[in-house]
Amino acid sequence: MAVAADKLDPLSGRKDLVEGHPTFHDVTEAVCAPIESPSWRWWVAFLMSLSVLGILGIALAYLFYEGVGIWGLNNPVDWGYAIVNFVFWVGIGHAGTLISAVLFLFRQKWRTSINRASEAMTIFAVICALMFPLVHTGRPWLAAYWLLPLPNQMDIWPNFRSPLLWDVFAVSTYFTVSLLFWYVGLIPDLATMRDRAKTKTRRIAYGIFSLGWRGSNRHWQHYEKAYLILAGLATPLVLSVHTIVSFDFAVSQLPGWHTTIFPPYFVAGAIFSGFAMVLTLMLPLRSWFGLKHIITVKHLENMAKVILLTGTLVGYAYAMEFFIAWYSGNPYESYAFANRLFGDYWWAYWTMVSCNVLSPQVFWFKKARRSVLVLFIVSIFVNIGMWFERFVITVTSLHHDFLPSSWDYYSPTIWDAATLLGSFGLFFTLFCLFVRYLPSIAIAEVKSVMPEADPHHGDDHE
Amino acid sequence: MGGHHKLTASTVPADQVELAKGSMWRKLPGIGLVLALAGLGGAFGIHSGNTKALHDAEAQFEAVRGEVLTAAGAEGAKQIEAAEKHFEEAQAHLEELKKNQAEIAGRREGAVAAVKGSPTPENKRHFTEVQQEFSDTTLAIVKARKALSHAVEGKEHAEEAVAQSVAPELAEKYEEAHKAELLAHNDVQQFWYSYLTAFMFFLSLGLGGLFFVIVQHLVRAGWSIVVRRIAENVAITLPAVCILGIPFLTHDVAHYLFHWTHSVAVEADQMLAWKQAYLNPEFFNIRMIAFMLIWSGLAYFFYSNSVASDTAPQAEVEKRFHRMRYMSAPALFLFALSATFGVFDLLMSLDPHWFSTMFGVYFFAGSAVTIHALLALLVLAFHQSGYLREVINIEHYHDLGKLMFGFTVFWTYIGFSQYFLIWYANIPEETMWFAYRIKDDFLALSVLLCLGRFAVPFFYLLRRPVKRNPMLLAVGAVIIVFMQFVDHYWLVQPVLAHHFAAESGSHHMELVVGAFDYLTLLGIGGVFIAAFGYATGRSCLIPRKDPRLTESLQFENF
Repeated sequence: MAVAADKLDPLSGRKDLVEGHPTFHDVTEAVCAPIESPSWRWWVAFLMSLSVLGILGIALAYLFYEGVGIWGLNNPVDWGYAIVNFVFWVGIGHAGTLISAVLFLFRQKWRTSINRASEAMTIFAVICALMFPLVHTGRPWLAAYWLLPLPNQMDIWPNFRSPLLWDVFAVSTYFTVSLLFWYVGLIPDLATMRDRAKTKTRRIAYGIFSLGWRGSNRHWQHYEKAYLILAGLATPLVLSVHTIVSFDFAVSQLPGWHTTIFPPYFVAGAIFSGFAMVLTLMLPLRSWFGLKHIITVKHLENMAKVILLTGTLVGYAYAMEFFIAWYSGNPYESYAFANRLFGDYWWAYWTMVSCNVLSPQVFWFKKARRSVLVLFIVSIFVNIGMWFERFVITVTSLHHDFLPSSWDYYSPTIWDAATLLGSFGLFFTLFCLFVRYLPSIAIAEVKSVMPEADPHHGDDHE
Repeated sequence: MGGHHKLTASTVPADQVELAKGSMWRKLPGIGLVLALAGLGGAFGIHSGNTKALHDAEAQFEAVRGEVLTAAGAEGAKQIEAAEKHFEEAQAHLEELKKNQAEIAGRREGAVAAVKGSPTPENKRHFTEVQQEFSDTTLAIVKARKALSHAVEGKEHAEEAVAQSVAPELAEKYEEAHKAELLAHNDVQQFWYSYLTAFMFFLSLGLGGLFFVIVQHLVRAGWSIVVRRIAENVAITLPAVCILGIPFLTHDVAHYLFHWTHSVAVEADQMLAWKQAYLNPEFFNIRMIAFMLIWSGLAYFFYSNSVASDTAPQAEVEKRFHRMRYMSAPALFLFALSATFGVFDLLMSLDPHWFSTMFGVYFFAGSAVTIHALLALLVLAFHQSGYLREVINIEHYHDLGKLMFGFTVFWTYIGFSQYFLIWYANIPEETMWFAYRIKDDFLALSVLLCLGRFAVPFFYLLRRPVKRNPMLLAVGAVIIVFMQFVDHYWLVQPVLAHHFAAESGSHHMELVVGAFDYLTLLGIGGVFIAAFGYATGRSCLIPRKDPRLTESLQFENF
């Protein structure tokens, strides 16, 4: 490996992003292998995910039969797991578009190894998220009717001044653009799959979706232009979606919810949790599918740095909230935060802080950033911590509101837990199907950052 | 290969990156000092005249007041004395309650310890009683503060009533003297508000430069090496500008700027009394000194290591770049915290009742957009004077333009979110901060801020050709830098205008851009230019031994 002698960087040099000097063809082979000859590991993962998805089916069937009474909601806490899970999954769905769009605009070439799978993750996470507004009424066939501004004979419209309605637009726009972006990026690779197909079904299926891509110069030019424009359009969406989600809370007057830092704080948290989930997915993926030379330790290290940065930003937001809760002189605000720390839900709060703020601090050390084990453990911690963050925000502010006589303790039921668990089943099932049928690494894009792609590659003068 | 020939680190022509002996850039320290002397000299000159006028007005008012008191006779004196006594009683009452509370707090600790030691029903009952006593006293204190605030008003009313009871001529004279004193006081305050506006503007440029330098090291940027030295030179203005912040540490100046330094006002206001643990002159000074040391120290660290690397042997160069890269992450951490709490103190506490968790980010967003615009302008100036022409090219302008555009959107995002959430929830203690910024004359300024900081630069910088044409880009950059000043004017000055509108009884907020605004801008700007010019003259215009210089020289947007 030509690493040591790189003079360009005083610390570690601009390394080759793909290790071991493979040829273009080697990369195609490596990425296509899991699709063309799946291993037994895939079946294990898929069947496990499918059975967890079954739990979701049961939980939802009972919900639709019985109604939301099966959940643990009570009078002050009328927003429970449904909103917590919704915000959690929308948050997860942020890393994909950040990696594919924002890092693209910032010329971060290392993104090419992880963008495809992260975008897929984004889409599946948003699907999981969108499920909750739909089912949280217990009567999803009516929810669609209430959420969308559909004309009706009663002339009753949704409240356009409510951020809950903006959510519908924000998340569905985000979903549409993410899907489009993902699909546009997939086209050249779908064509590769088509050209390699050994069965008729495959050839037709990949053929239809590759839209007649032949890799001509003209195709590439249009493709690059479209990709740049979509990146430009998707970038503000990375910020807007979680901003609108934060408005769900922050436009209110409830202590602990109404604070101006919520929009960027939610966005930072979303990127944070999204990157953690990317790590959770990528670490097994690269190892099981033999892709360690394409998703290298360097890639993992970069993700660890993003997690450290965003985790610390989230810590900054926690600190601001605390300081201003005191500084504002508002006793209700101060109480809300004291209640978070030492009240009934202290355990949830301290879980959140330990997982989100403290655990990523190990990434100040290079050893930790390059250790697969540490990365995996911290990524799980962050997933847990970010779920708890939404739980803390939602429940602690609601369960003790202004009037002590209406205070109550919220505890979820087995059906709340089953729905949460089941949503992971949906997520992992979709992800398993993705890695089984689509190239989980952007083959064409990875090739474009390899040394061979440089027009001067091989010229040995100067 | 290919068309044009590109420079590498070893082929950079020396005359492109080293200032000639007679270069106009070498005159900057001198020009800056002249501007500083003219601006600050002029401003302080007028200000000392104003200060004297204020003393005269105060003396004049005292004299007229004496006349009024004499004319009002025993009846008037009694009235005023009664109000005075009432005030003193209110003060004494509050003091006593506070002492009581401290005493009860002591007993409460004992009661808690007793319950913890042996939780007998008797001990528990005792604790409940003490706790009740404590709560009652706390509530009494809140009421006593309100009473004190009424007593302060009562004193003023008593005087006014007495002044109205005397002969009409004398009453008018009193009214005039009072007004003259108010006006004179406002003039003195206006100087410090203008000074703070200019100070914050140039401080934000320096902090922007520091942020730029830290981030380039942190993300191992390649494209920006050729402009980094300019940013380092902008950042190293921080120690000089910070010295100009020393007046804020003095009692008098803080008194003119910060309402929370007025002890009676604080005592009579539950909110300010609550914040006293943080907003008090001693702690404020300690924080300010710490922030100024952090900013100056960080700027000096990156500046000195970078400059020293220009002439150092290879082994040392690597060591220095290692060091800067190593420090960049902790430096960013320090920068974020110090800038946030720094602007909480210098800007947010001007209106000590108001608060926003987003405020630090708001300041940062403005500084970030402005530094990229300032760099584009400085690069253009170097090009115009014959320097850096082959070193910095259209590709670098393009990147600066993209970052100007991106951070414009970011500023808008932060500014809008802050406004929107406060507007939507409509909680009086938060809304009033915006309410008086869209009142009377200041509405136009707020509209200008929205247009000039968002609409105009957004649509202007959207197109690629604009970012790739130095002259067109410079127009956008001038707008951005100008709007950064407007933003700080908008943050600082309405506080005084609002205060004066209430004090003078006109209730109309006037926006007057006066001599102080120009002179302090010129003066502090002069210090900024002098420091920047001095740093620029001392070293090469690019970090010529940066390991990634070639990458930056040959960089191309695709």
